[in-house]
Amino acid sequence: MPSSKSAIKPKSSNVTEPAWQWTFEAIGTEWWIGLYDFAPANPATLQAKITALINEFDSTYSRFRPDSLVTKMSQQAGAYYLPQNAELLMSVYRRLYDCTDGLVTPLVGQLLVDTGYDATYSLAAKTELSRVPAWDNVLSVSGTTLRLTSPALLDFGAAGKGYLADLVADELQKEGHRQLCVDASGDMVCRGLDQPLRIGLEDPGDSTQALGVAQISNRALCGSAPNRRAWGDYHHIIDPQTKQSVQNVRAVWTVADTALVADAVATGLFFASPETLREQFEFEYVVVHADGSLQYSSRFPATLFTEESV
Amino acid sequence: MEESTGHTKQIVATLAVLIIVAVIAGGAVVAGRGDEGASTSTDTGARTTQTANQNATYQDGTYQATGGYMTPAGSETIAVSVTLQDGVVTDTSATNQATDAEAKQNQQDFIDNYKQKVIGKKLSQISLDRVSGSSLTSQGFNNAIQQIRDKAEV
Repeated sequence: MPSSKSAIKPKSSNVTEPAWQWTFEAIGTEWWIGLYDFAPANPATLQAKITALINEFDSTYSRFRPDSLVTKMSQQAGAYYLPQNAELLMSVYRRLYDCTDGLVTPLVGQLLVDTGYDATYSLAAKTELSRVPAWDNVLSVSGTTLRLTSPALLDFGAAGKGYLADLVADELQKEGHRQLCVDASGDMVCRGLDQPLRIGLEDPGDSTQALGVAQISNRALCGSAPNRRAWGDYHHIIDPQTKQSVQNVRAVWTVADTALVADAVATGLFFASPETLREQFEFEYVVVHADGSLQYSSRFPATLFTEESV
Repeated sequence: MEESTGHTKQIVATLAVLIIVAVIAGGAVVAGRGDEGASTSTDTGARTTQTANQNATYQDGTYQATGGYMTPAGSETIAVSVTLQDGVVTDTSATNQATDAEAKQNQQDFIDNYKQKVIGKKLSQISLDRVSGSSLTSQGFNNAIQQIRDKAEV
C-alpha cells in the first residue's frame, strides 16, 4: 500500500521544522524521529543506540523471530527472566486483561498464528483454531520474572509498539533532548514541544481524507484502524472468545501520557467501553463505529472538521 | 494557512452521508483546544477562505437528499436539505427520520447541534505535520501480503 506521506507535506511556513529528523525501518514498520531543540552532535552514534534499543526489545518480545525469548517461551515451560522494562509492560497488560474481561490478552499469540498471522505471514487460517487460555491458568508474573506452567506463545501487539516508542523517547531524553517526537506508524509520542504537532486523523475508509487534526506537544497519540491489516475473513484484532475479528469498531484514536497506555487502551476500545477502561487508565479517545458514527471524549485534543457558517 | 472548505468538494448526496457521520453519541462536543490548552486551534475548517477550486463546479440551488446509515438497532435515515451558492453551502436543514428511540435521540442531538457537523477534509489540502492512520502501519505486513499476492497470482 503506498505511503500517503507525500500527500501531507506541509505547505505553510509556520509549521515547525525539526532541527534533525530521521526516517527508518524497524520491526516491520516505518519510524520517524524528530528532534526539535537541537541536532545530535554525533548522529551516527545516536542512530546506533536507537537501533540497538529497538533490536533488543524485538529480540525479547517479538513472536516473529526464531531467536526471541517469546519464541523460546512458546517451546518450553518454566521461569523466564525478562529485562527491566518488562515490569511495567506486564503490569499494564494485566490491568488491560482485567478490565476487558480477558478479551485483550498476551496469550492470544497461538490463536493469531492459527488464523494465519504467523511468523511467515502465511495468512492461511487453520481449520482448528486454538483456545486462548486464561492468564492465571498458564502465566504468573512477579516483577520481571515470568513463569509458564506450559509453553505458550505470547503476543505483545496490543501495547508493545507503543511501549517501545516510549523507550525510544526516553533514550532521546537521556541524550539531553527536551523537544522530540517519535512516530512508530500509529504510535506516536511527543515530549516538550513548544509548538504542538498537527497530526491528521486519517479517515479509515479513505486515506486521502482526514476526519480531523490532533495537536500534540507533550503526550502520546495512538491510532488503530485494522481494516488495512486484513486477510481473508480476518484483521489483526481478534476476539479470543468468538475467534473472529472485531467488526463493530472501525477505527480508534487515543491520547494518553505514555504511548504504552495509549496503545493499550486503543486496543481495549475494540472490546470494552471507554467508561470501563477509564476505571484503570487515564486517556482521551475517538472511536469510529462500524456505522460511521463518532464517539469521542470532550477533551480529546483535536479539531474535528466543522463548518463555522452554515 | 491556505485551505479550501471541504464542503465545496461534495455533491449533496455525499454531503448528506458525511453529515450522518457526525451523529455523535452523547452529544459530546470537541473543543478546539490544543494539547494542554496551550494553543487554540482556530484554523482548519473554521474559515471559509477558499483556494483555487480544483475540478468540480456545482449548480446553485437547494437540494434534498435522504441518507441511510446503520446502527446496532438497524438502519435509519435522515433527510437533509442544503442550499448551494457558488459551491458554498449557504443554508441547510435536516429532518429527524429515526425510528429507534435511541437513534431518534442521536439524530435530534445532531440536528440541535448542527453547526458542529463533521465534514472530511482532503489531507492534501490541510497543513499537517504528520498523519495518524492505518495506511502507514506495518509496512512489513503489507510487503508480505504483496509477495503472497504475487505468489498466488496465476
